[in-house]
Amino acid sequence: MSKTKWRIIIYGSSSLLIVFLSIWVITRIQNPPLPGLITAREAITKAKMVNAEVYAKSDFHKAEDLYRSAMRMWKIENLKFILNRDYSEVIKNASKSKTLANKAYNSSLVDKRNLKDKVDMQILELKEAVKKNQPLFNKLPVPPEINKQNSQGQLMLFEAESTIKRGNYKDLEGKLEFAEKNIQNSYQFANQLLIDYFTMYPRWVKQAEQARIQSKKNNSYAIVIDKFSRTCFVYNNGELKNIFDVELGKNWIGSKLYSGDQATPEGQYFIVSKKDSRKTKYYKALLLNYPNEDDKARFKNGKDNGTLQLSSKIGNLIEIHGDGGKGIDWTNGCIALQNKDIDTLFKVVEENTPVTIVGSLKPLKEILND
Amino acid sequence: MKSRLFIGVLALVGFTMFATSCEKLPQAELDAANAAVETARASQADIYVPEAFAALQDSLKVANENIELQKSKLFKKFTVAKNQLIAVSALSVTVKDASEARKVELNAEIQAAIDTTKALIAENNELMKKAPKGKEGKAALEQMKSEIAVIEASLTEASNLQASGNLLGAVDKAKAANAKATEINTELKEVTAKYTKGKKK
Repeated sequence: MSKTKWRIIIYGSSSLLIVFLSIWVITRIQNPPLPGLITAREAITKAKMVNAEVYAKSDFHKAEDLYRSAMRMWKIENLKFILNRDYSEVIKNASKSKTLANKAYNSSLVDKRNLKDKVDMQILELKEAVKKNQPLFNKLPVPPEINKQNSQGQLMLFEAESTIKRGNYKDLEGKLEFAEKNIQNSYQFANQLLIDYFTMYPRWVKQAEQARIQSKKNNSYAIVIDKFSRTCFVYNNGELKNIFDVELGKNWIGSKLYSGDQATPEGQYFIVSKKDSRKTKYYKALLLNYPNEDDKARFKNGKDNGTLQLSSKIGNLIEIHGDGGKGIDWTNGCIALQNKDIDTLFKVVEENTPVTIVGSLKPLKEILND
Repeated sequence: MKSRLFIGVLALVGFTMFATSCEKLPQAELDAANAAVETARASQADIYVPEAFAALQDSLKVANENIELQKSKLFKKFTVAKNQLIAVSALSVTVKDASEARKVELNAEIQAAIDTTKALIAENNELMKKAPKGKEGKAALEQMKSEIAVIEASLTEASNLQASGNLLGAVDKAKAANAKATEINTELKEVTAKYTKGKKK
């Protein structure tokens, strides 16, 4: 063979070898796993935007870990010789990451909506409870610690609402639990106070009816004070002549037990003295025969059984007087009327006019429904 | 023969030079971007500007993906990744500044709520002096006193939270205290107005 022919054979086969080698190398080089990582990252970002790290914590963190792991593997593979690289695990992890991030996104949307519904309902119920119970609660002389509990609960409710405005529902649960517990406890205490107090209701109704009957029988005046509704009913000859608003002592629930308890007594009394403005600093006053025999017996009993201190005094000078109309219970146990009303009353009643003071003329059920 | 050998060597050298002429990894830019993101995190950007911080983290991830993509190739070109990393560093500063600004804003909100609440408490205490009292001078506003005490305690808690750096907790507490103090103020003004009206009669 000639030299030229040899050259052609050598160059030709070399070229073919190069072509085949190039094809082999190109087919052996894997495509970078970028598309899988991009979709995983985008899924994670999308989940993050709906607070999946809060509402679907586990799946979201797993998705992030898998993405990080895929990136780490990609780095490791890139350190190898180009023909030895294998991105299959990178692609697998990126795919798993995307699946979990999407799952986290979906469950986060559902959880957030459910939590929002739950929280909104809880707040609405608490606000309704406050709206319904607070006016009555404010009227009741509850101990300071119960007042504090109520105040703390309501303040926490305000705080929870402030947190909601920031779109943060997850941090609310503890706050709402605290608010609910404190508010409901204080109302339960108030409710029990009323239930205990209203065990006397049949007696009150009977006493008020007796006063009206006596007024008819004797063709005389009778005064009935309903402490709960802060009302003074004036009867003459068994007929209702006047209704006046009254104000009472601060601790108006229950009978007066001792001097300084700021309670308005309950029971059947009569007027012992009419005081004009020269004899009282409260415009005009009708002095009652407090303490009567029942009050004295109750006081003695309290001292004997230790519910009252030995140094306690029974108290006196309980009056129906003027200077009322202040809008709150402010006396130390007396019954305050507006001056125009005490004027009216002062003209018609005499000494010995019966005065019946009762807790309520309305049953508790009706009061609670009001 | 000599000239062929020379051409062969020249081709080999040329190929080697070409193969090794790829760009270098922008390590300095990568380190700077990572450090800048950490600085933004240290300024609590993840708490106070969470969306901006998430976007920043995303940008860093994109740059890292681009670096690995280039590393996967036979001929590497890091210009795009380098520019992305520079942009991440710049964005980190913006996010950090936004976080600091939000903190300043929150601190101002907290302080304003605390100050106005304190003023309201002082006004409420004055109104309580004018409000109806018992014969012996004892106040009949126990519940309001209790509420004011609870509000004062809440303000102290808000200040403590602020001092400890929990600005979101502090702002919630301070605003709640403010709302409650405002409610009491309205209630007291109504009672006092009614009382004053009653007295005039």
